[in-house]
Amino acid sequence: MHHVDTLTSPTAAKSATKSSAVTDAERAKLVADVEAYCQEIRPIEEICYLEHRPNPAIAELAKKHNLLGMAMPKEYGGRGMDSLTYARALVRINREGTGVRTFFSGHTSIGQYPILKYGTDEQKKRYLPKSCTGGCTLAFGLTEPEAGSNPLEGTCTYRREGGKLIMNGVKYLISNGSIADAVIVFAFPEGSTGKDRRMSAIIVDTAGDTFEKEALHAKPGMYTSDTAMFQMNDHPVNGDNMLGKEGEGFRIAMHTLVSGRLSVASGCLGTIEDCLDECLRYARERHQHGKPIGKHQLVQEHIARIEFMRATSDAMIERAAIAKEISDNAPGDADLLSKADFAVAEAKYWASNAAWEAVDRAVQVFGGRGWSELYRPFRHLQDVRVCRIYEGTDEIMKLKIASKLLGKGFEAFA
Amino acid sequence: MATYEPFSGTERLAASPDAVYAFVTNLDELVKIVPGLVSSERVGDSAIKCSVRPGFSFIRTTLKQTFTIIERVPGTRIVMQVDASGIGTAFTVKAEMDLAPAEGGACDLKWTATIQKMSGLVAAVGTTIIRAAADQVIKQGFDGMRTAVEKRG
Repeated sequence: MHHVDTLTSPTAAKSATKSSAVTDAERAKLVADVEAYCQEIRPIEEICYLEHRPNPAIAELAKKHNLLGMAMPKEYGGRGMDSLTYARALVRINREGTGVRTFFSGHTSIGQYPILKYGTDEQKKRYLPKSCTGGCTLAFGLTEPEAGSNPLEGTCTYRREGGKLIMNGVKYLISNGSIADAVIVFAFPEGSTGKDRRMSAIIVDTAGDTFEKEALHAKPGMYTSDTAMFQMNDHPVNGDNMLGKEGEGFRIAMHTLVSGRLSVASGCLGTIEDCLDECLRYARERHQHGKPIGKHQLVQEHIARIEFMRATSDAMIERAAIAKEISDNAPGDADLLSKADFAVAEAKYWASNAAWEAVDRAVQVFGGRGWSELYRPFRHLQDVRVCRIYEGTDEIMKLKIASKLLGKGFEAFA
Repeated sequence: MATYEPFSGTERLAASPDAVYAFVTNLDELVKIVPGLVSSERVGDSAIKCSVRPGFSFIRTTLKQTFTIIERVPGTRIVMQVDASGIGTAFTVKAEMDLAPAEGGACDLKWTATIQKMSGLVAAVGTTIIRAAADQVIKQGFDGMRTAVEKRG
């Protein structure tokens, strides 16, 4: 069963995280670079957040600290990190805010990843090196105004004209959507119906008047990162920008979301860790009724619960990251991918809900100050709610988990 | 689509009905009072296309709007259709304006605006927000019209 054998053995897990061509020294350097990035971005991020404006330093400092290709192979200019090390990096980055981490998810987890997994050699050479060095920001364009949990209800289209793919349609709630130089767009053949209506993945360069983009501002939280919608109006794309085989888009999207969900889960753990740190500091310093509030047992209950959320999320994310790494190292193995999908869905569901509980408790520990963007817990509270929605809602995660346990024929949306 | 009650009201302008009629039917002048106007281009005698950035917190997209006069009776009545589209958003509004002389050489402009079609993201926004936004745009529009026609007399 999926829920007991996601990790086949400790040996397999160990080999999975050691299989990439990365030395311990290189991992340590990445950890140090991530820490330096986080230290440098914190004051900038805090001001941008309070002023509800985008933080361009998220990408600029990522370039400076060489973090734009953490999980990409060295041959493409990346740092070649395994899934677990990359997940740990996202945990740390998300302590600076879900918006900061979401940039990396959009760029690497669901931007670079599908190109690496499904791109031709030429596509990889064209997009990955420059995306690792700041020359090309990436995004993932699946959601549409009328197609959320069911991407097959999407209405974006493409047609072949000469040597080009001509794109039409609207994508919505796209992380990095108004700053991306290229977006992995999912679309259907123009005018297709029935069995011919199969979704394809296409790398869409965003330059040109026929690609209109707009940042979305009516969102609660994540003010410093880009969430956008865009519209393609007969937008021409190179004919060789089809990602994977024509009609394979749904499979590519679902595989990519495994990577995206792990990044969301990792980010949520960062949120919990930061809330715990903040609560511990505040509970020691803040005095009420003649003693530190940390001595009040009901405050201790909040702290204990946050720690439970941290520890359980940490364990599930590690397990999911190792399952994903094992799957990544065995391309084409549907069983291993299914196990990774399952473990990641569990981790994503659990960590995002654990983070929601943790931020709520942290706000409570902070009392009146908790209800203010001046303090970190409330900023996390505003930011983290979306993690139970994007990259797959709570409900989709539960359906996925239950149907896999029940077996074939129990898919809720088959 | 949600049901929207028509917007309506009466504005008293310190100018004659003929002057108001002349202003409203001069589309090049009329679009100058559209809040957030970026650019405009005439497309025939009765229509003008323009690009507008409304600047609301919930919708900052650039809207492409076409104002078309679909009925006109000199000095007394104008009916105009406004077709607007932006990224993931489209709507059509029919605006009817009836002009009547008022005291002191002024003009009473009785107007009704009906949302005929609304689709995309904006259609999912609550009707109260749509109404509040429309009220704001209409107020800004009439303030601009008042300034323009009263200056001319």
